[in-house]
Amino acid sequence: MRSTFHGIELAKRALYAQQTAINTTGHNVSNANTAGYSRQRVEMVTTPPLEAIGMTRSTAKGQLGTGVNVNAIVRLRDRFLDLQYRNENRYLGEWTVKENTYEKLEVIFNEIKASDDGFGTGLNRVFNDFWNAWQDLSRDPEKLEAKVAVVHRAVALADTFNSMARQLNTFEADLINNTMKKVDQANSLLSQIAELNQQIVKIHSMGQNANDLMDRRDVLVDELSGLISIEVQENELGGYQILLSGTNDGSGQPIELVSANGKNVAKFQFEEDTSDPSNPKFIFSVNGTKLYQIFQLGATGTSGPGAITSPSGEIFGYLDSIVKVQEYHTKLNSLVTTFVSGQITVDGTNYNGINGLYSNNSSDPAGWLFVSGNDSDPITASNIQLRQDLISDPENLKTTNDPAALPGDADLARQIAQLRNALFEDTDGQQFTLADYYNSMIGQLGIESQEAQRRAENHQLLVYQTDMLRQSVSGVSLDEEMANLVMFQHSYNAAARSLTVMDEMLDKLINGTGIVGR
Amino acid sequence: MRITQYMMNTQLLRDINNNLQRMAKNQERLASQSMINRPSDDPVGTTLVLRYREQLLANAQYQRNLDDALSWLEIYDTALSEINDILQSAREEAIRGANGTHPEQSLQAIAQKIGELYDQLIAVGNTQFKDKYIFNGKNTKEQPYNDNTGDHISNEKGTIEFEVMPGIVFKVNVLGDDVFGDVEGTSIDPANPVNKPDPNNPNAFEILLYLKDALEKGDNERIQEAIGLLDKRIDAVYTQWTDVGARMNRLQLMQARLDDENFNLQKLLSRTQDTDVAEIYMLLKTDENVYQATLSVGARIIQPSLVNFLR
Repeated sequence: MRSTFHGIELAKRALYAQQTAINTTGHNVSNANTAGYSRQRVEMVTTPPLEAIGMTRSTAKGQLGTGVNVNAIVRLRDRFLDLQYRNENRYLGEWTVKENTYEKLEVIFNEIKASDDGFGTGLNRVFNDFWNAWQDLSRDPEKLEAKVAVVHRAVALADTFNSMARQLNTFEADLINNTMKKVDQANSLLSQIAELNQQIVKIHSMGQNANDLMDRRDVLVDELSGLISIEVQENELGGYQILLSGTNDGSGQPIELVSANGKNVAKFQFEEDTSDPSNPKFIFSVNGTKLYQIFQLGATGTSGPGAITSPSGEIFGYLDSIVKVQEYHTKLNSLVTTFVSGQITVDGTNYNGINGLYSNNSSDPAGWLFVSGNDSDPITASNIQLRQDLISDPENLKTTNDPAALPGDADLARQIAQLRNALFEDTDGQQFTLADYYNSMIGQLGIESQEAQRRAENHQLLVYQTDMLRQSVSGVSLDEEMANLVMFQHSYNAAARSLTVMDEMLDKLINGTGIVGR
Repeated sequence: MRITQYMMNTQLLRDINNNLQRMAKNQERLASQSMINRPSDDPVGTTLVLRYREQLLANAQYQRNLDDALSWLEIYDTALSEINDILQSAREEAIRGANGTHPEQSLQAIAQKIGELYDQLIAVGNTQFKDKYIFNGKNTKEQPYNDNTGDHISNEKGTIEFEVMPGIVFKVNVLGDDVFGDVEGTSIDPANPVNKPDPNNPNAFEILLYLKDALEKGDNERIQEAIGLLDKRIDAVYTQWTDVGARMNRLQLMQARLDDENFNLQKLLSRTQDTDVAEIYMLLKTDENVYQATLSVGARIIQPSLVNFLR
């Protein structure tokens, strides 16, 4: 048996439901430009019909509807696209960092950029000027100005090496700093995700959808996915378990970064390990598991990833970059070592580099051309310098090793000038001219840089496309919201009208009925 | 696919950014006039450009070395021609004096002439080029011949060598001994010129002194002897002169080769590195048009939404 006031209750429910829908539309419109926002939809269902099945059911025909109810407000989101996005995003993070690293390395090894005379200003040029000055000296060994020119060129050469080494050192320090910042950022993201996890799980256990909190958490997870490679597993209460992919916690599972209930949070650490003072290193770890180690330049030990397979994300991009910078620094140092002491054969005699040739293979640095400033230190790109007494008095520069030292004897100068095309043997027994070694190093840098650019661009495109797909599902379309708004408004108006009809009917019944003949 | 305003905005921004990037690249190519502005622009081209530049710089140096070597040899050429002239006129004078018909007085005059030639010869022996004595091997700062006697002060026999092409070390000097003859073991004494010079390798100064003495004394036999020695000396000078000429020839050939190489290197460098201005300018114009089009499309798609039409 239906109630007389059934229609009023029905209209009220309709008004509430349409109002909720209009409010949600307003929420969507307001958040059209909010990062990570997923549009929401009010799920409306009909309320249970009046007549329950049973012995006492009404015999009236028809199942009379009782109106509408809001079942839930859901967000529209595709989990699979999130997965794809995060998978791509870590590579984008890694390669964008590497692309920047190579770009800076290309600036440090400033070779190709043409100078006013078209021959560049890089090491290649400085080396050329150095050899040419010796050539000039070999023609006029009697002239002081020729010696002064050689001294100037030699100082310029050493300066160029020093400045490159200094820039590489600064760059390495910057990268280490950036890594630390990124690690801090990752830690902060982890704790924020854990906090949201707790709230979301609570709300979900009460049977509600924590749409906006979930959106916020997804933004944080997206951000985290750019920093480091993660896997996300969602439990039935909506908690995210975040795992560090490519690792093993000992039971065959990846290391857990955040537990699904948000109670446990791992901590990344990037610190200098000075337990072995003779061989300090930087270690990147999570909860004590070594993920990456970086030895100092020139130290024994292999830098690289530890207990992690296929590391990616910005953090590993930075760590790889540090190792890459060290690699180029090592190459530069090896060029210096080979230049000053690598084995060469001049007119049938073996010498140890330009220093050996100049000093007639003396082991006393006092007779060398280039020194390290402190005789116990090996000569490297950062400390190479021309011997001080040659700078203070270029007249001291020898042009011959003949004891008679005749003024016109420039055999040594000529032999040194000829080193331009000489084969130097490095410590690995490889033979090359210095220019070839350096040029192939620059060529390699170019190829690697190009590769990094290409990969960064690829992943950018993939991330962009996945993001567009995600937007297609979750993004707010203003046209759509407007259309919905009009639709819900009409429904609201109609429900209000039906309420009026009810009112008029009751008015008729109460005030206008049973007064016949009055 | 469902499209939202955000997607269109993002797409537009991305397109604009891509267009700008392309424009910036082409502008850089035009402004720097170089297709390779960093190694990653063209890694292979980079190594080639570096090699070409290096070879060009090295070749410029070899050009300078070659020019200098040529100047040295030209100086020797002049000096040897002077020496030849001096010795030839000494020989002519000697033949005049050997006639035996001259009175005592004219023999003295001839002897005096020989004396002058002797002084001239010493001056040539002490020729300097760029403040260096050219006939004293590597000891370029010391005068080789005594101004008065022509006796050796210094007799260095070192070879002066320049690298004139990669790996080619070229001798540029001529030794005094080879031109003037050795005086090893003896010393020249104008006061006592009766010593006969070594017939196998007679010293030019000694010959002239010997001849002068013979003329002064009217000793026909010794004058004849001196003419024989002079012939020997002149032959030796000729040998050196020919050698200098041959060396200059070789240098000139190398110079031509270096020029060719330079020309080729310049061409290769330009082909690898230089911007084809016409082509890039055209590309830049296209980029500009595309950019303009993107902007105007953007202005159109972004403006209206359903909001504008609902009242």
